[in-house]
Amino acid sequence: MSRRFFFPCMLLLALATGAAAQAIAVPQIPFTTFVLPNHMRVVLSVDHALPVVSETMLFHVGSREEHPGRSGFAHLFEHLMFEGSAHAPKGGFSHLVEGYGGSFNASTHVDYTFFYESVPSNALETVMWLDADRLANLDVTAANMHNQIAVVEEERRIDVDNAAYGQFYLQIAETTFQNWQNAHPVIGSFKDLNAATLADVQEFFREYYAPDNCILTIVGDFDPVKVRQQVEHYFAWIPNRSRITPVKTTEASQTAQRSATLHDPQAKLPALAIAWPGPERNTPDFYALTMLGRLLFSGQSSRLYQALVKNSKVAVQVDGNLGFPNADYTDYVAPGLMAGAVVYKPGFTPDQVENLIKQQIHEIEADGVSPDELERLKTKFSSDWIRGEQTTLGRASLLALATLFDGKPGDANAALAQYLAVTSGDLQRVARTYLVRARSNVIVDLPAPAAPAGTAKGGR
Amino acid sequence: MRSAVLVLAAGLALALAAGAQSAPPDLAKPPVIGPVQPYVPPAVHRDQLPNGLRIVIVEDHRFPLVTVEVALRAGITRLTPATAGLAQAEADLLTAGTPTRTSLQIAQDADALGGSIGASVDSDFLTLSASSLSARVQPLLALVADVVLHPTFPDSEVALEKNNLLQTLRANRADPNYLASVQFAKLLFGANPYAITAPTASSIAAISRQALLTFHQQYFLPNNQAEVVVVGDVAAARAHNLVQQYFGDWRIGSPVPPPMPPMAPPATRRIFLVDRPGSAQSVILLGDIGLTRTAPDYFPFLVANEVLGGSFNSRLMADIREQKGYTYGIYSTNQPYRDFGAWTVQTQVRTSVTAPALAETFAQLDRMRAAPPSSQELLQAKNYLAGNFVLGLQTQDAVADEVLTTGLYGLPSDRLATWVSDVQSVDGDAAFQAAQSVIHPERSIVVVVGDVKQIEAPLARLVPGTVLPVFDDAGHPIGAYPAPPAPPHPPR
Repeated sequence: MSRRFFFPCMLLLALATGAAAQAIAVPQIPFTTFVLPNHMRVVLSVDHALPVVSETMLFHVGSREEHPGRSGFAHLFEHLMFEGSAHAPKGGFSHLVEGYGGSFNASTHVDYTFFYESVPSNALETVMWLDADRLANLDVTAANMHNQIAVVEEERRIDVDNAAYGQFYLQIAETTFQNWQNAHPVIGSFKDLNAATLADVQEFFREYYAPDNCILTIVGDFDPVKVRQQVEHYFAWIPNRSRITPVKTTEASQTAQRSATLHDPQAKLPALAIAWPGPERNTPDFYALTMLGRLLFSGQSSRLYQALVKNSKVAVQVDGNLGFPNADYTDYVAPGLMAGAVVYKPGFTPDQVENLIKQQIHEIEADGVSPDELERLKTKFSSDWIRGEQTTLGRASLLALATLFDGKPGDANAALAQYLAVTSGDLQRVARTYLVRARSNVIVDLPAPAAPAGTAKGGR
Repeated sequence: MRSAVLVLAAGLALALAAGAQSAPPDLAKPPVIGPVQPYVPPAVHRDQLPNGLRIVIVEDHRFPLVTVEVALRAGITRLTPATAGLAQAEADLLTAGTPTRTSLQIAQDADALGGSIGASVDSDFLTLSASSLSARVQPLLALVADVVLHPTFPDSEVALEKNNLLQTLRANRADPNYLASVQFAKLLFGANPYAITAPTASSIAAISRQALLTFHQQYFLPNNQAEVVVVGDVAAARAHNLVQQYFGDWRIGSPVPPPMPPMAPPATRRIFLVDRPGSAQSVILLGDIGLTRTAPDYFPFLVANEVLGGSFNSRLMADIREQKGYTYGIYSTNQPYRDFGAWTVQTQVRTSVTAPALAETFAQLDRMRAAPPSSQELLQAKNYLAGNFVLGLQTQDAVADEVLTTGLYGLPSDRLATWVSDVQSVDGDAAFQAAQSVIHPERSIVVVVGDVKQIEAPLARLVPGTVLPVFDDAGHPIGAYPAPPAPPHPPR
C-alpha cells in the first residue's frame, strides 16, 4: 500500500532579520472547509501516513456560559454525552469505539467543550454515526445523571479536594476575575452539582449542543469526496434550536493589587501564584505576551527557572504562561490572564518569591532581550509548534480552535508568523503595560498542619 | 428517556417550520464497515558498533524533526535502600555540566537546536532523550554525546539537586498515589531490588559527586546493554555515521547485570493501610507478581487484562464507575519490568465506599478466574489493543520508545511489525489460562491510603482474623503491633 506524505508544502519562516537568520521549514496543515445548511462548520484534512483518523466535535460552550448556582454544568454535560443516545444506549459508545480499536475522550474548558475519537480508518463512519446520534438524539436519564454526578464528584476530589494545591490553582482565576462568569471553576461545586435537575440538564443540551454551535473536524486517512457526502448524510439534517442571549463576561479594569492566602492541609511545601489580566486575543500584545510567558516560565533556560530554582535556590518548581493554568496560546480568550506558579522551600517568605519574580520582569523592562536569546526563543517555539502537529488529533484540535477563535482554520498555519515577528521592544512594552503591581494578583498557599498520622489509632 | 424524546420532537418541529433541513437518515443500526487497513511499519535499521553499542535508526520524513535516545542498564535496580535516589540524581545531573558547557549552556544549546534534552530513570534503564529540528541533527548528537560521556557533576549542582530531591520527597508524600505505589513495591518485592522506588532523607544525604562519578564509571559503558536510537527526518546512513563519529571511541568495561533474587508470589491476601488523616478519598492499589515482555503468556495476559480493566469499556470501569459511581476511574495494568512484572489494579474512591469498592473489585477478579471472557469481549479487547498500538505510533518519540523497548528488553527484532498479529492471534483459552495464572484475589497484596480511622474496620472484614498493619507517610509502621509486618515473600 502506498503512503503519501500529507504535507504538500512548507512555509519558510525567517527567525531573525540579521545575516544569521536561519529559515525553518514549517509544515503547513492542508485542509478543506465547508458549512452545512444547518450552519455546522466542517474541516477535513487528509493524511494517509498511517491507517488512522481522528474526528472531533468542538462546541462553543464552556464554564463561562454557566449560570450562578449551576457551576460545573458544562463539564457534567460533557460526561452525559457518553451515557447513551437513542440508537447507541448506555455503554454502546465505548463498546463501538474501543471495540473497533479506537480511543475517545473529551475535555471541558472555560470557553469550549471538546470531544474526540481516534480510530482505525475503517471505523470513521461508525464514529460519524455515533456523533450524529448523540448530537440529535441524546438520551439523558435521571439515573445516568445521578451516576455521572457521583463520578464528577470523584473527579473533583482527585483534582481538588484530595490533592495538594487543588484549591490554590482554582484560586488564580477566582482572585483575578471579579465577574463570576470568568472566576468560577470549570469543575463546579458539590452544592451546585447536587442541585442539578434533569430539566436543567436537558435545557443545557437544547441550548448549546446544536449544529450551528459545533465545529466538526476530521483528520487522517480517508477519501475526502466520500467523507464529505457522509458528513452531509449524518449531520446536515440535524435541526438547530433557539439560542439564549450570550452571558456578560466583561471585567472592570484592575487598579490595585489583590491577594489571597490559603491554608492547605495537603501541601507539604508552600506555593505562590501571581496573575495579571491579559490582552485581547490576536492583538500584537497577545503575541508578545505569549512569547514573554515562554521567556519567563518555559523550560530550564527560562528567566524564572534560572532566578528561582538555580541562582537563588528558593524554589523547586516554576510554571506559567499566558492563560495558565487553564489555557495556552491556542485557546486563550479574553477576559483572560497571564499567570505563573512557584512551589518554594520552607524558610522563604512569599515576599521574597514575589520580589524575585518582579526583579526578572524589571530586567526585561529595562534591558529587553539579546538577539541570541530572542532567536533561541523563536526557534524553540517553532519546533514545538511543529511537534504539536504530529498526531491526527493534535492537528484536528488546532484546526478546530483556529476555526472557533480566529474565524478560519487557516490560522492554524498562518499565526506562527505573528509570534515570530515579536521584537525585544514588544516584550519590553507588554512587560511594562501588563505585568505591573497595580494589576497583579498574588495567591499564597501555605501548608497547614494535618492531624499527625496515627493519632486516630488511639487505644490500639 | 421520555423527556429526551420530547426534546428531539420539539427540535424536529422547529426544523420542519424552518424548512432548511434535509430528511433524517436511518440511524437505527450502526453502519457496516470494511476491514482494518494494515499497518505498514517503517524500516528499522539495526546495527552494532565494535564497542558493543547497539544502534537503531528509523527514517521518518513527515516532519523536519529528529529524536535521539540513549539508554543503558543503569536503572534503580542498581541501587540498595541506602543508595536510593542516586540513579535519579545521575539522570537529573547528566545535563548539569560538562567540561565545555554549564547547565545553563546545555539548556540554551538545546533551545537553539529547536529541541530539548533530559534524562529519566526507571527500574531497569537510564534513558537520555533529546530532540531537535532535523537540520541540526549533527550538533544535537554532539550535545547528546557530551552529556552522556562527559558529565562533570559540579559540586554546586550536586548540592542543589540533593536539596531539591529532599523537598520533592516531602511534596510527594502529600500525594496518596505516590504513597500507595511506594508501599506496594516494598511489600510485593521484599528484598528484590525492584522494591526500591523512592529515596529517603538519609539515602539522599548519602549522594555525593564521587558516588555520581563512580556510578558513571561503572554503568555508562557501551556494552552495558546500551542502545542509541535515532528517529526522524535524517538519512539512515548519515545517522549511523554521526553515531559512529560521536560514540565510536566510547570505551568498554565489564558490567554485570544487577543481582536478581528469585521471587515467590504472596502467600495470602493481606491489606496494608497508609494513614492519611482527613483524606477525602482512599487510593486502593492491589496486585501480584506479573509478567515480563518475554513471558510466553505475555500477549494472552495483555488481552485478559484488557477485558478486566485496560480501558473505559472494561469490566472494572463498567461496574465500579458506570454502575456504582464509586470512582472517576479504575484500571488494571501489567507493568513489565525486565526481570519481573508487577500486575496491579488501582483506583481512587470516596472514603465512605472504600470497603465496598474493594469487595466489588475482588468480585470482578473472581469472575475473571471463574469463566473465560465471552467471544465478544475477546474480540473487543484484541481490537482495542491492536488499534491503539497503531494510533500510538504517530509521533517520532513514540516510535523511538517502541524500537528502544525491543532492544532493551531482548524482544524479537521484528516486534514492531508483529505486535498487531501477536495480539490478534490470542484465543479465549489462552487468555483464560493467563488470567488464572496471574490473577489471584485470594493472595493479593492490597495497599489502601486513606483516613485509617474511617476505613480500617470495614476493610478488616475482608481479611478474616487479622489486624491491619498501618504505616505513616514515610513508610514506618505505626500503631501498637506485636511485631512489624513480615515481608510476604522473604528473600531466598
